[in-house]
Amino acid sequence: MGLLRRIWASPSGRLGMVATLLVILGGVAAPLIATHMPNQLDVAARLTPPSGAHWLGTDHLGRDLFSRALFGTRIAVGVALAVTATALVAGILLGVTAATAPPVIERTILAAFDIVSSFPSLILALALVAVLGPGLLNIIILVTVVFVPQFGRVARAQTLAVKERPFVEAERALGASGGRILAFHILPNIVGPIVVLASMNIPVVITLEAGLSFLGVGIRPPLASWGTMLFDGFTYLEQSVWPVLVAGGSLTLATLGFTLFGEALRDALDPKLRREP
Amino acid sequence: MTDSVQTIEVEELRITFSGGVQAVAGISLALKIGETVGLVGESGSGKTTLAKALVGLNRPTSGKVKLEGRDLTSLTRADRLWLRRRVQMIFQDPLSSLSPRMKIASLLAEPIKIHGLDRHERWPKVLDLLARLGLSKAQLEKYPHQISGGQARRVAIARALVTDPSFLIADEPTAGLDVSVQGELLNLLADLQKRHSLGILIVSHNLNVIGRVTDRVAIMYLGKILEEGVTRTVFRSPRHPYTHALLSANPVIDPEHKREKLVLSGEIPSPSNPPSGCRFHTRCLKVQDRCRVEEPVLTGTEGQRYACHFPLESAA
Amino acid sequence: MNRETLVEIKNLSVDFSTAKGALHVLRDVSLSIPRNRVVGLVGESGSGKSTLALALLGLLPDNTGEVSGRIELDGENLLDVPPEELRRLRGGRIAMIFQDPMTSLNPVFSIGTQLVDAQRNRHPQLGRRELLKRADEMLKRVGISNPEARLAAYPHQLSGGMRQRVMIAMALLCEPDILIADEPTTALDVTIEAQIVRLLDDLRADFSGSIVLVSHSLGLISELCDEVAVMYAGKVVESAPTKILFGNPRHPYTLALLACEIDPEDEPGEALVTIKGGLPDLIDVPKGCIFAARCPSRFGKCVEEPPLCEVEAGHKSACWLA
Repeated sequence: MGLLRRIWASPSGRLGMVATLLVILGGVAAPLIATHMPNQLDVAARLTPPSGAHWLGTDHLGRDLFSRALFGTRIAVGVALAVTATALVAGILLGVTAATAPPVIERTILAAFDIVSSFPSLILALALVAVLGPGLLNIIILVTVVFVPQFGRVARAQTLAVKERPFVEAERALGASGGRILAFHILPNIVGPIVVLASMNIPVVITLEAGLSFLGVGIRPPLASWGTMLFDGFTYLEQSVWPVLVAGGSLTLATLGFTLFGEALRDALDPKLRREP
Repeated sequence: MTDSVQTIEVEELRITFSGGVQAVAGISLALKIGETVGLVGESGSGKTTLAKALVGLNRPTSGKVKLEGRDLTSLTRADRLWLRRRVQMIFQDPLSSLSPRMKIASLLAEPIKIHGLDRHERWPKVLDLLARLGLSKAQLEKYPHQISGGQARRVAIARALVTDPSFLIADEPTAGLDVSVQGELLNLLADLQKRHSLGILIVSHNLNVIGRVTDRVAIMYLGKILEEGVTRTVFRSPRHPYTHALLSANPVIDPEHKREKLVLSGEIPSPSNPPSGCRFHTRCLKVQDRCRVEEPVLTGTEGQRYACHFPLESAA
Repeated sequence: MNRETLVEIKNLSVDFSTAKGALHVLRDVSLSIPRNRVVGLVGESGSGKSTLALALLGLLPDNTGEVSGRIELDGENLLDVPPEELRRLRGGRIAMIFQDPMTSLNPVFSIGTQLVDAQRNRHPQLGRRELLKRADEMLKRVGISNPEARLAAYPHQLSGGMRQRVMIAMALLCEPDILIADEPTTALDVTIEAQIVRLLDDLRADFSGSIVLVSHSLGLISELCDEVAVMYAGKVVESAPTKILFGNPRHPYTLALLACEIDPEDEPGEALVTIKGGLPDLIDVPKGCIFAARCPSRFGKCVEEPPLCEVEAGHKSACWLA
């Protein structure tokens, strides 16, 4: 496919693609690759450095760090994808509605967006946790809420711009209904930029989830999350650096990979940046 | 009108945009099948707004749009669908009027779907039409950006004719075309008109094109028709000073400089604040006091009508 | 009137590099621009007329490939002039009027500032006050009423016709030896176009330089130019004094173009004349006469390329039949 080849063409795109693939593959194949169960305790071998039995060492309960990091990938990437996909759909729905509905509805939606985005995302997430309580599902819901306005605003701006393009008028002249124009002519022309935005948002969601879990209001133990691993490792930092290194390293690899991939995707899709071969 | 069955017409049409711009300020105009009418005007004349009102893209502020005797001013959904099946438009920039993420085949099939027509019966006709327009079947699988400007123009024309309309509104159909190919497009329109007995409205600022291919012409200025009638008559013997100036300003091949050019001074006033009285009085070479206060109405015969208190002598 | 050459274009060829190979936009173009005359370059899209104008200005686009030949201004080859000096020439001896004045005027500076800056190359010794005064006078000369107010205005506050007048004033303030006007009236309404045509016609009288008018409109060319060069697919196919060219065209392409011109006086109903076929491939340029594929008078000899030869005094045509 031309798109993937264009992403592959730049060094940073290549790096991003490899890192992203590694992370996703690790998450998907976690049960196959993992050497231990993520919550399997080995009290005899607590806080050990890497060895033949535990490739990346163990944590304070003797759990295998390599396996926990792999299963943590499932949580991190799973939450990020779920949040981004939900926020994407909700954002497009609200944004397109705002752009096409009567002014009262438009103003209401925009006001809601403004309220949500006027809080720093972490603070807002903490506030929502206070209301909903921690937990995997709640994390997904509240991080989604935080991200909807971004997608919604872009979707609205794109819709407003596409609506003014001559082919929309040509479709109207042909007799196409509003719904048909929206579904067949406006949506296909606005999703591109929003998907790019979404791909660049995945690393942000990953860090936000890790941050919340680190603060103890996100993923609850014993589920393996990079954030909780980081927090636990932090407590025992003086005895072993490995838990922090493994959790932090995974986080870095994932965010870097998705960021580079998202940027390369944006460049590959932007015809203005596309050079003639 | 007696033969209103075969006519699309506007009566005392006014279209005011939010912001107070009166783009169309009381216009009556009819287009019959088998007839080509030219609509001429400079920027701000409202010619495109009027054209779009005919296909139901602009809602009248007041006045009527009547298609085959039926008043469509209220435009219910069913009315609108019917109107759009009978009256089609080709837009100025053909490429940008084609939805970019649809293949040519889907673009051509759209009118069939929208109007719930029988695909088995229509599609062969569409293919016939394509062949007549000089497009190959290979183009069907392409996207708009993969075809040339000339091909896009043909696709746009084919798309407009899929529903078998009676009326075709063409907005600047020759804009941006070289002289060696503009004739081809106009010949094509003339040919299609004969085959489908279409009524065609050509909106253009190109007086040569209008003068050559239309039967009737209307000259617009700031939302009003200043002169209208049989093209030949109007072009040979304009009665309104604006028409006269427009025709005189039209660059024609004249290496010997035989022709005395009439150059209007001043700018075209803004349509949001048109001059009082006759809208043309600020630039008219024959302006008198009466023109500044009293707006002239269209007078004359079916063959030539003009809105001027002090019309030019008839050359005939 | 004696004909003294100001610019001599000799065997100019220009390539644009594209993904598919070198596009030979201009091939072996020779043309002389006499002092104090208006020369028209007329042709359809793809003829190379705008590229020729840009070459004169030294403003060929970034994707320009190989350039050969000479453009001599008073004997000096402009193609050899270093960019820095060329830039100085552009504000001084060579000036240009573009099709769309909105895109060539800077939206963030007032008209006055832009008119002052335009003269800096030409009159580095004068201060802003003097330059503004000159700008004021020039605006009056190009028919702008209330110039003081216009000098303080920004481009978007002026109408299209007014902006084109400002562009003309800006070009004239440079006191150029050669003024290049690329489709100067194409973006304007008919009645405003007539005003600009009259203005250009009036200015000719006391303008000491030469004007090169690039246009697709034979009407405009016939009204304004002393001499015309007809271009087709990167070649000059015919050149002559205007009256001779329109009165006695000797190249089939010129004849065809004139035939395509719509005359509203013609009887309606008859099919309009067109030139069948399309532009030749300018990457893999066909051998022989460039117009042969579309030419109604084509014969055996057309497989060889006809040179641009004088057929009568001052009248050249690149056709074996001329």
